[in-house]
Order: sequence, then structure tokens, then C-alpha cells
Amino acid sequence: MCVGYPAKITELVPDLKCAYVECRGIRTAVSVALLDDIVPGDYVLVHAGAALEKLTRETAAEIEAVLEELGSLNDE
Amino acid sequence: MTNELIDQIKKNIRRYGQRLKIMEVCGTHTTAIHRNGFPSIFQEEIDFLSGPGCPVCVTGGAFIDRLAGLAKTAEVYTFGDMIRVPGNQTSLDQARLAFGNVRIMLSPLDAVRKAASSGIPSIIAAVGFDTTAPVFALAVELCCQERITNISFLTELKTLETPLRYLLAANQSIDGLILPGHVATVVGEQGFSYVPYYRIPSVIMGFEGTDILRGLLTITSSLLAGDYCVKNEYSRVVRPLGNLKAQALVDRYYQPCDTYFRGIGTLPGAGLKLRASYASLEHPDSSSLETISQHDTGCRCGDILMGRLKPNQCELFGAACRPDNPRGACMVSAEGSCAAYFRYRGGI
Repeated sequence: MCVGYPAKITELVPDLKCAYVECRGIRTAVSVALLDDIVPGDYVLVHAGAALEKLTRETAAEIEAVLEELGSLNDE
Repeated sequence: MTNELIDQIKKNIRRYGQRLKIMEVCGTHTTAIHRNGFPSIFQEEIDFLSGPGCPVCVTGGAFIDRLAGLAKTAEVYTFGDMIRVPGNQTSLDQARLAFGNVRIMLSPLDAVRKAASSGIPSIIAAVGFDTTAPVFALAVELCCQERITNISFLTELKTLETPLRYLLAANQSIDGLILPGHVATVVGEQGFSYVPYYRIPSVIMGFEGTDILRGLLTITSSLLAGDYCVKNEYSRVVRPLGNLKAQALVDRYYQPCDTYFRGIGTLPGAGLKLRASYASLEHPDSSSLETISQHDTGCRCGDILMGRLKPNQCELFGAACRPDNPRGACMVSAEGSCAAYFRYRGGI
């Protein structure tokens, strides 16, 4: 439950402080209220339905690979 | 590269002259350490211990019982990995079978939306550490903004600082700490500024095999140098001050309270409860602190979480307690230390 997973912002819904993100082909809505200046194309670390931190594309890919190897993404 | 790092770490430990106890406090680190085979690679040099950082593992049995009881009359929303955790009397899985209204949430925000649109009296189980608390704060904010009245929170949020301080004071044989990468995104490097006081090297690490090896190299080098400053080797994700917006939000909605840790007991100020202005959203049962310890089932989760025992030193491990029939919380969560031991060491 503590696992944070990386995702790419695909669309912002500014009024709701919310964004659609994509991770491994799955599209879902997350809160971006805890981050400033998020734009589509940014990568973020998502935990329990909220983006907690911005990531570079390289770091996002690295985290995704390691979580995939550990089987942790299946729990989310 | 990997072999070089391993050799350097072993060389450092030989120079230091004693076997090391190194603790992590994050389930993803537990899994990564076992998955990479580090307990075998460093069989002669390092005991890897799992501390009290997994919320599923430290949640008390009475909390589970209370939540299961509430499912009689309300919809209960919980994270999925709480479902099989044994309470003292029952589990959420049993409550789900008996009453049918235990709902699994992936996010507290989704739970708020679903519960609000159902209009049914609903209780959201707020369980988690510093990483998860800001998301529950967002959920509380959403309830306030939209004046939702059919939802309350059964709050059992915890902060890592107090149990970590308790552990470092009580178990002085720990030689190094692997600090959690994702908790640290919220609290930042500054969130661990108390660790050097205990004269233990500590490193915020990522989860790749080489991240962990580099971190172990730093811990062993720091031991040799007597350098106890917190090192951040996950700076590509963790900032020095953490996520200030998340910290401010938690502070706006929550205040510290005493809370119970399975296997450890009640720790003053280690929990979070809603501030008085938002108390109407707190379920009245949140305040009933656990007064009895875990029923004596022979489960040694507490000793394991404190680094006093390894999972395979518990008599129940692998026989009476297995992932398909867990007796203790550390075997329930896929990222619990007992489950990781079982999975990667074949239950021995």
C-alpha cells in the first residue's frame, strides 16, 4: 500500500486539482494538489491516488523497471 | 560494477571488524534486498533487519476488530492489504463475508467520491505513515469543501519518527539504517535529522540493486569514519525539505496523538488525529486506544519489527504461519518481512 509508482500526466483537470495519468497503459485520475506547475507530459510519483513528487523521464523509467521486477506494481 | 561494490563493502566490514546489523523500514526495500539475494551475498557480514515502517504490520488487532464491527452498520473502505490482517477477534475478510460491505480502495479520494455518491453511511479506514497522511488530508479537505456528511474516518495514521527513535534507543546493536525512499519524498532529508543523535549512519536509498549496494557502501564507509550525518542517495526523487505543501496540509488537518503499534505498544505522540475543528469527520471509535496487547498466539511480529529476531526464528514461521494462512501481520503484507523471507528463502 505504500508503493509509489511513476506515471505520465496526460491531461489536466485544473478546477478539480486533478489530472489523468498513464502508467503501463492504464489511464487513471490522480490528485495533483500537492505539486505546483504540473503540465501534461510531466512524470510524477503517485501514491494512493495523489502525485507526491515530480520525476524526470529517466527516473520514472528506472522506478517502473524496479517495481516491475519486484512485482510491486501488481498490488496497486 | 556490482561485484566491485560488493567487494568494497566486504572490505569495509572486514576493516570495521564485526558483523553488522542493518535495518530498513520500508517494505519495498525488504523485498528488493531479498530479491537481489543480498542476505546470501553478505551471509558472513550483514544481518538484514526489517523495522516498524510497514503500516499493515504495525496496525493493532483491536483496530481491525473495531473496523470489522463497524461493517455491520456502515460501508467500510480500506486499502486492500488490510483485508487479511488478523485482528484479535476477527478480520476484515471475515466481516466482508458476514456483512458484504467492506470495500477495497486504491485511493482515499476515490473512496470519498464513491461513498458520497452512494449516500450510505460510510467509514474510511485512514491507515498509513507520513507518505499516506497527506492523501488522507486531501480526502478530508474534499469532504469539507463538498460538505459531505455521510462519511467519517477511523484514523490510525502514524508518523515514522517516534517508533524509529524508540527503536534506536531500545536496540543499540543496530549499525546502520536504510531510510525509505518514498516516505522521504514527503518529509525530505530534514525529516530524519534526529537520526545522527543515535550515532548510526543512515542513507536515504532508492530501490534498485545498485542503489542499495551504493547505500551499503556509504553506510560501511561512514561507520569507519565515524560519520553519522544522514546521506541522501535518492536525490533524484527526494528533496532536502521534502514536499512542503504535503507537510502543510497534514499540519492543517491533523495533530499528534498517542497510538498503538502491534508488538511494540502505545507510543506517545506517534499518531495523527483530526484537529478539533474537523472532529465531526472523525469516527468516535478512533479515539479508543488499544489497551490490550496482541493475543498470545505465539506470533513474534513485535520482536521481528524491533530487530530482535529474524522471521525464521519465530516458531510459527513457515509451519503454522504462511502467506496463505498468516498468523501475524508481517506475513500478510506482500512486503512484510516474514512474507519476503518466505517468498525468497522458500519458507526456511
